[in-house]
Amino acid sequence: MSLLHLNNIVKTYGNGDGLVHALRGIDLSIESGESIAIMGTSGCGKSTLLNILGFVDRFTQGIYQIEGKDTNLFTEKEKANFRNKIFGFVVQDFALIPRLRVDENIMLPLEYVKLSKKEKNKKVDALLSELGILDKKKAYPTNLSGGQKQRVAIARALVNDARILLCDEPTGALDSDTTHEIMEIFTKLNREEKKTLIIVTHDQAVAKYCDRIIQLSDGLVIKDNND
Amino acid sequence: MIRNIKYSFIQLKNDKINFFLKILQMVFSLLILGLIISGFENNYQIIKKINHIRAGKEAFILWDSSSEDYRDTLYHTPGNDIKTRKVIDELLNADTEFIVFNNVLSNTIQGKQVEIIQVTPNFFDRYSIRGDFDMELVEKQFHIHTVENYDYSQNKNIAIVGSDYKKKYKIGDTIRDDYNSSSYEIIGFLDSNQSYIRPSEGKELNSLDNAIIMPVFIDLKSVDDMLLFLLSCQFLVDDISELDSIMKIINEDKVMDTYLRSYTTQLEFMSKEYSNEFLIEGILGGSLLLFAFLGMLCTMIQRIVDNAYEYAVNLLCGARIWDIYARIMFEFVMIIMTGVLVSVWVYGFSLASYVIVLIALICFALVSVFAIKKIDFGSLVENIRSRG
Repeated sequence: MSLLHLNNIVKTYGNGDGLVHALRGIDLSIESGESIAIMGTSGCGKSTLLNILGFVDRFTQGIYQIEGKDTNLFTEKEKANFRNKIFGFVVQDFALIPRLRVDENIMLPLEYVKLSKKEKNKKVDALLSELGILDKKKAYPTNLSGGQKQRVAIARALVNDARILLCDEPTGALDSDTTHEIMEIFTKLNREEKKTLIIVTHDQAVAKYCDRIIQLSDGLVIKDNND
Repeated sequence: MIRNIKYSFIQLKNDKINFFLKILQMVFSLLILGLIISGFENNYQIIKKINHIRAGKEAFILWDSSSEDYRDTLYHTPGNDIKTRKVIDELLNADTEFIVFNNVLSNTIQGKQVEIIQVTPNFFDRYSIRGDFDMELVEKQFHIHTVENYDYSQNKNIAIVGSDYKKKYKIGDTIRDDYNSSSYEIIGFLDSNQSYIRPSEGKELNSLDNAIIMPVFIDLKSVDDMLLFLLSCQFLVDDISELDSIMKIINEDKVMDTYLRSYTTQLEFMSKEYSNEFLIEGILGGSLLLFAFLGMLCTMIQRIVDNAYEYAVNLLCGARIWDIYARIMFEFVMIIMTGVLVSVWVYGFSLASYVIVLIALICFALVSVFAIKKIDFGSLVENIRSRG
């Protein structure tokens, strides 16, 4: 049984003459522990696909299963629970809240989990230490470099021990050296901690870190090196 | 829900300056709104009061046109006291309604000049004077006192006093003037902002907040006193001819050189002036009301727009869309409640406060609709992407 299975997923926006087909029928199976790069030109539907996978967007038609369970039957609460505990999101602009400190940003997903303050702090400290930014714990995002911000975003994605990392152009705002550092972190998480990694990127250099590359064009999978 | 409230509190604590500014904006908007409504209400009450004084009747006052020398002669002509008394007897025995409103003197109480006003019981109703007093007692105690029927043994006047005295006195207490020559036993208090009109003195309303109101007292042996009484009467008649008998005695007996002057004209002029003001205030106030309303709405919508990014991040971290709605609603309830509480504190339980609550609720409803329309996964996630 696949971890994630998509069958003929269609996503349209608007209606009538303004109807836009973002996804035209995606069939895809993703196994636990895979590292996947979703590539394609701008507007081909790769981010839409990632959002559908992470329950931050709804599909118009098709079947999306997680470990064999039909997600159409999931309640909003269950989907939110998945976003909180199963998926970890890392996006291009880091999605950090500027008015919160690094530790407070990382603790955001823990707001939805019953844990003592001490346990929360312990988790945050362990992640910051692992990612080499423990000294930035009390800093605000504006005082961090791009690489440090993305490490904070990764820490937040992992704080609830997410099994699947959904990354939308995670290195899009970084220079090549920092891109390498961040991709090394993702690779380590995939190899050592068996996190399933799904990265949306248009950067070939980033895609090379992944075992599987899926090419999208005009809302369809046109190439999947797994096939 | 508790989690959302807790989260909102933490969020507000972290974002206190911005939140404080939004509260300030809301408080100012609601206070402006209250000011407009109070202005409307005040003018409406004035027009109502002016119209109620006459209640469809014609109002007249006696206007003394005698020269000072002539007046002096009249006052000291032997037998004039009997003639004046005749006029008063005629008036007291006639069916004509009259309000006596006599600013007899001003007295000094605790170093402050205080107006002592003598009135007949119908003054309270005709001038729509509200307060904490028993009207039945007023009817009984505020009859016209004369030297003959006044009990001097107590050397104490009963009085209904302005709202300013509420801080220091209670019903049953006695107010004494600074020279200890007069004392006034309080039988009631007026509400604040009660006012009266001085005949022939323009459209101004005079405050009663600091006044002491007592029954009319006439010394029927003093020409000065009796004439002052007559000149303090406001006659309310269906037709001026009702006053013919009184005027006949005054003129034939040469009690004083006087004529009947229409008080209706002054009241109508006042009513018109205040109606015009009401109209101008209505146009200006309506525009301000609209701006205040839009201001409040913008304040709240701006808060949603400002926080859209943060909401989106929360959704990615596991919040449900309803968690976001709950937080927005909670914030707005906090902002609106603060504004409403400050307004109620300033304006009391008045029309202004009720309108403020109503407008705040409409704003809340509109913003809730806006929030539900504006905040969905797609638009919020787009918000994150657009920052990239």
